[in-house]
Amino acid sequence: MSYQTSFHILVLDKLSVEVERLLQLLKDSGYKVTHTADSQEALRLCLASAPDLIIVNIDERDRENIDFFRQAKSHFSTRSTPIIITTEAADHRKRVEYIEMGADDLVLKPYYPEEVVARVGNIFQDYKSPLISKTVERGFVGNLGEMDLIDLIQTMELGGKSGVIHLNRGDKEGQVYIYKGKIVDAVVEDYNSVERAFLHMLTWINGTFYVIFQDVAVNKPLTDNNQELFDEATKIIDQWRKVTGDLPSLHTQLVAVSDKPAHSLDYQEKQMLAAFKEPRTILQAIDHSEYDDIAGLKIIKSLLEMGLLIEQEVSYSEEKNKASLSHLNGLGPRRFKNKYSHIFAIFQRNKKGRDELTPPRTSVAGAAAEMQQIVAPKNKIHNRIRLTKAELLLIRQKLGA
Amino acid sequence: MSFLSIQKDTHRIGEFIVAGPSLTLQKRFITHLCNEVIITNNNTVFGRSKVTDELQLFFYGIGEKEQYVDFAWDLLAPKMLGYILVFNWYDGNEFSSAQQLLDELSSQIDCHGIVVGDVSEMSLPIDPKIYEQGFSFSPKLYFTLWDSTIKSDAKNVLKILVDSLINHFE
Amino acid sequence: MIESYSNTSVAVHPGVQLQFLRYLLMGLSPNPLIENMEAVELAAVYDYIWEKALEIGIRVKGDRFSQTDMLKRLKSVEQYKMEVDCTEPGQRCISEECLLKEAACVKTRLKEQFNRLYNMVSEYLGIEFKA
Repeated sequence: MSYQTSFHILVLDKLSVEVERLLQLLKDSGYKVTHTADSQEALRLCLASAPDLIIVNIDERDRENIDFFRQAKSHFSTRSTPIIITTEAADHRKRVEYIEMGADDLVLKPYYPEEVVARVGNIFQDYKSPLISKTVERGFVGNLGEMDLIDLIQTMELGGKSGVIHLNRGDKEGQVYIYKGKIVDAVVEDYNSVERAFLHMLTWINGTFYVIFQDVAVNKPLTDNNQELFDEATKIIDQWRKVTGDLPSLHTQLVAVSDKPAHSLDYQEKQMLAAFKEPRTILQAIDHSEYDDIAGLKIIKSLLEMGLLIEQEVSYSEEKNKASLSHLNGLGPRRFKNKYSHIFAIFQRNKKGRDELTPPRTSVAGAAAEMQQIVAPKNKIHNRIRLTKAELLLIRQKLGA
Repeated sequence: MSFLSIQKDTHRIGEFIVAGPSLTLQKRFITHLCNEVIITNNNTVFGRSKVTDELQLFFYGIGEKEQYVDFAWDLLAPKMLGYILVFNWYDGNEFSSAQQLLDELSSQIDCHGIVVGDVSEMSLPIDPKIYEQGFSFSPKLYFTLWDSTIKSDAKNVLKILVDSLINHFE
Repeated sequence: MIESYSNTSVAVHPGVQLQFLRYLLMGLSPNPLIENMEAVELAAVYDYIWEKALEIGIRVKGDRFSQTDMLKRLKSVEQYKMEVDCTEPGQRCISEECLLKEAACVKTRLKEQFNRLYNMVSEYLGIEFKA
């Protein structure tokens, strides 16, 4: 049936013979299928491009998929997405609990993949397409991975449209108000100026949006020339990268060195140093300071060079939490409050690969550790990419297709 | 704009180290890609390639056995965009050297890189489409084969490396 | 059944990956490499080479590629267990338990799988497999 080719199914389960067969059958039935065994990856995929249906395996011994299920049910972009749970849970009370949690269907393992495909078909028979990737009566919806804020504004600018662009990054929502193609207002939590709120939302490259065409109150436009604004925003981001180039990761915890004399410091430096009496990250310090982000960074850089600030060692579990997606699903603490600091957290400087953060499996890795080094040396250099994505794309263009 | 200040960088530079047991291959790689190339008496190769008025690529071909090599790595490695490790695909000794260097690099530095085996010595019976996209060892480390006498092969090597850098942002 | 040691494997040095890949692309049997390796290391390399074999298969065959066809040419766990008279449950064969307790057995089985895989890839590449 041709309509099935428009449906995207996400399968979250460890690969096995029956899962493989299920994936193949779903593809043969014309569905677009994505598979992952990792719940964090599944969450990331949902945020980037909400599927039309999710099949998730729940194993009582492994809470991660249960957490994923709950998050999917509560999140804006997936709360109305049907979810089929597969489970080995023999206890009927567990099965009832899953249904009460909001599962649209439940299949016991081991299953015949054909049965699951049939149930998927039944769901789609009665199901209206989710909010994402659907045209609404007076606007449209989609995901920011395919169409970012600049694209959206340019679209409205072309048609001289008025309306509101609602953005959702996963942990945060914001709105941009457009009057006849010009930006007249921008609202996002913790940003008290239109300009900063807008710049902040420019960098939301993952998440969802919906646009409603409507009349908006006429305020003075942010700018008469949107393109100039976009060009300058890019330069601001470049400038930030340049300043942060000589600093450790913005998530690095620093602390003031107490036994060094600080009487030669100016007022700004003293104030910033005081902020590090207790260990805190660079971003936290900037958020709470009264200075512009770039000025704040320069002060911190100067304090580091003077040896008045040192890096605080972070425990393994804290490092893992930083790199995890918990801050994107709103369950983790909100770290970033205002100004540009939020923009650049997205770039996740010194993002560590999974291998470095995944703990060694105790028994097998213990045996293997005798044979080969599996733990990275502490003094390993972590290079950052010193060009922007745009510059890399330019290089790529020059190299040819 | 009163709330946005404009600052212009005059030069943006992307730096790559080209390394491996064969200086000849380093020279060939850099020469294929660069407008300006200097080869010093100490067997170091410098190359510069202009992408735009504001963006340039620098390539440093450092030898293997010379005394200064460790020092060169110390200076250049922390700021490089990535490295290209070239060796003769058919030469067992060169392969062993490259393998050792690769293990050392990957344990010392977390960086994008590509390992490239040169097949110019004899014709390879494998369809290029099989290897020209590259094979990954990890999200940052790739492998491919090339014919060091062909400029487009050198470009392809750099393409794979640049693609891995671009993917890092995604 | 796709064997995956992802729950048990350790990190593999890129140099080792490169070595195995070189043998794969040259149509050489990986036996000389396997002899000096422990089962747990070999299991991790197997995962890597399996992935590369899939990639090569897809690049060569495109839409005609079938993972099932590849799997059919490998020896199944059940078959191997019968040959060595193993009475353990099937899944234990690719689990951490056997990797540690019956390392020699796992290594023997993996060696055979490697050679079958390498032979298959040589066919895809259109080169002679030198056993």
